[in-house]
Amino acid sequence: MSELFITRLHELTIVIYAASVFLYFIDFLNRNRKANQIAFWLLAFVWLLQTLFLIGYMYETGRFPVLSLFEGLYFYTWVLISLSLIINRLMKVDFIVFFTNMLGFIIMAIHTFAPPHNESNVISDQLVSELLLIHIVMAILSYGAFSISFVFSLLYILQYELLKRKKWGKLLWRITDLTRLEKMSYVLNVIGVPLLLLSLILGLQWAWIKIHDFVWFDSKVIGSFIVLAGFSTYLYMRVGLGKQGKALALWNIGSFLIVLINFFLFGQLSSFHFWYE
Amino acid sequence: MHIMVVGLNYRTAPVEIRERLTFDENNLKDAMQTLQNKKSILENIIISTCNRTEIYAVVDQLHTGRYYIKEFLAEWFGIEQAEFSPYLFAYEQDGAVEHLFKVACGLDSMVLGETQILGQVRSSFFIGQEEKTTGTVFNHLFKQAITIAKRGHSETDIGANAVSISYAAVELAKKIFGSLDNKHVLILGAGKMGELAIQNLHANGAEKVTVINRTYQKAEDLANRFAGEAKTLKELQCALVEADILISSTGAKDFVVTKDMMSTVNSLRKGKPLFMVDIAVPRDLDPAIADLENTFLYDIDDLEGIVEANLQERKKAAEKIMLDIEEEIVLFKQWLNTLGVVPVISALRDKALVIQKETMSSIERKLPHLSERDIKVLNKHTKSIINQFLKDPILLAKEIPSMKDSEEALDLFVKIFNIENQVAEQKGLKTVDEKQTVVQKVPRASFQS
Repeated sequence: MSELFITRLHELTIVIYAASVFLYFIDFLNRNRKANQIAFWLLAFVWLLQTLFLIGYMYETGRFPVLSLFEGLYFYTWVLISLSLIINRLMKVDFIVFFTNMLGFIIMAIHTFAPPHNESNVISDQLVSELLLIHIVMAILSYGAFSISFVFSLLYILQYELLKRKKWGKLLWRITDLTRLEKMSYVLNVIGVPLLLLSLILGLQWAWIKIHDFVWFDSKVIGSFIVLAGFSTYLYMRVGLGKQGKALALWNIGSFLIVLINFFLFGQLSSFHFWYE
Repeated sequence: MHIMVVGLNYRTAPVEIRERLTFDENNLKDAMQTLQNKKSILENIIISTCNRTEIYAVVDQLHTGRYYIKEFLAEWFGIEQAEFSPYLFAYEQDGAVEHLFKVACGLDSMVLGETQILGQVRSSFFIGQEEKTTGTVFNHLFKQAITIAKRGHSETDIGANAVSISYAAVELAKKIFGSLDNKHVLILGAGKMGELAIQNLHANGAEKVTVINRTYQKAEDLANRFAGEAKTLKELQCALVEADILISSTGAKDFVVTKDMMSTVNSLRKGKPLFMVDIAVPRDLDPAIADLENTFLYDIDDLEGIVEANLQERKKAAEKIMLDIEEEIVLFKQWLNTLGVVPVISALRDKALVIQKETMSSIERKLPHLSERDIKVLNKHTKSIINQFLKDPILLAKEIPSMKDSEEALDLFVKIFNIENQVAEQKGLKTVDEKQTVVQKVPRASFQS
């Protein structure tokens, strides 16, 4: 795949993605079924372009594209779009796709300005193993689950406030019920936590084998364990203590903020994590 | 041919009149069939609900159509015309079409945007089709009305959200719990309001009921009617910990549930949401409870506010649908006008073919030596001349219905080709005796706005 073709493909994807998010925004402001439908098909097209890009990229590099910031962010966006399309197909929950893709678009934009995928930023070939790829893919998948769980909690808080403040408008009737929103964020965390746990175990195993001067007190390692602890606490409060309601949703939102910090900040401070050798 | 609707509804007639002129669902077929046999009626459909009795008809003359419809109503219900005539309304042509579209969309309903009427319109239309009281015009018009209504309901929020207080309370509860199945309802006060509240919630799936009343016996009586449980006022705090929904309607002068009491209860509920509706005056539930987390407290004014807000939304949606209806009326008129073109085109072809036939006879007489093959060739070529010559005028004629002054244009077309007699012959197929056949075959278009 030529460099020019990849650039053009990426630009096209960004433009269509922006159009899709914009149409979802129109639907959000003032219910518009046509805008929603067009936005969905544009999003499906973005997913197709991204999938083609990923396949082409894999064909070119001969490996799974998650070994640099550039690649990781792209894969993360792909996971978010895939999940939002699946959720859109499986259940009709208004605004989930819009909010998820707002997040997806922001990440896509960050990806656009991320350091390009030159060799110095990619983990050297000697260090790459299946263990590492599985570790990264699982981590990104868990982040995808946490992201959508976050969106559900965000909608929970929005709906909670609308109900509390007695704002009887379209928004209140379009956003689904609190019970469903809470259940969906719980289910996604139930998926995300084991994925992250397995990812961390595999990551540690990989680091133990491949990195001779492995540091336990690395910011990314600590950050990942804080994320795991945050979401595990959420599950404990929900299942063990039987807690529900606003506090739980706020906890979930807080935990996701740690995910973002861990992904963007701790990754940069890390002494050995991908895209910074 | 004219379209009209004659009827009465909740706007024009009081219930005492409406109930006397309501068609029994089982007799609707006979009624349509009987009306169809009346003079002047070419097609008819009767829509009869508790709020309206409306007769839609395609008639050959408006005044005779109206006369025979009234006669039919008087005969069918055995009531003097003078008794119901003042309550009747009648719309003709565009007005009748617009009225049908509005009725199907629920824009003419007592509860704006309700969907039940669409089912009733559809059901009457199907009966009309079965009984063959509909023809080309109503088959098209009613299908169009049903399509517009379906589109209106799917593309706008016209039928969405509650417009009654009890339904608003249920809808609001569903925004918290999703479904009311297996939800625990606590009723505070065993009066009439409490009973109505249980009935409403029970019907929506909330099966577990606890009733608390100052007089325990009353609470027990009410609870027993819904296989529920009665508790004393002392047990209120414990009951609040377990409940999902609280409906309060006591006659107490002070707050029955205070903020302090709810704070204690809340600490034991582990964040489980509590939906509280205070329908008592003076209020039973301290408004400050609303400040507590995961408690959703509403009073009767709040529910009225929801109904009002939803009604406003429905009105906005109705305005959108009205714009759609206006466009659809134009489309219907265009379609109807195309029906008028058919006999004109047939007449033009007939006239041309007669000329061709006469020409061929003349040739055969004047040139008797021509072989059979020669005649065949000549016949073919003269027909070809006609076809080629008529091609453009026929294409133009087909475009006439979409023109601004389509009727004048069609008249001019008929005059230019001097085919008035042939058109009259085409249309003359229609007699009162043969009206059924004509409606199916060549409906005349004279739909004037």
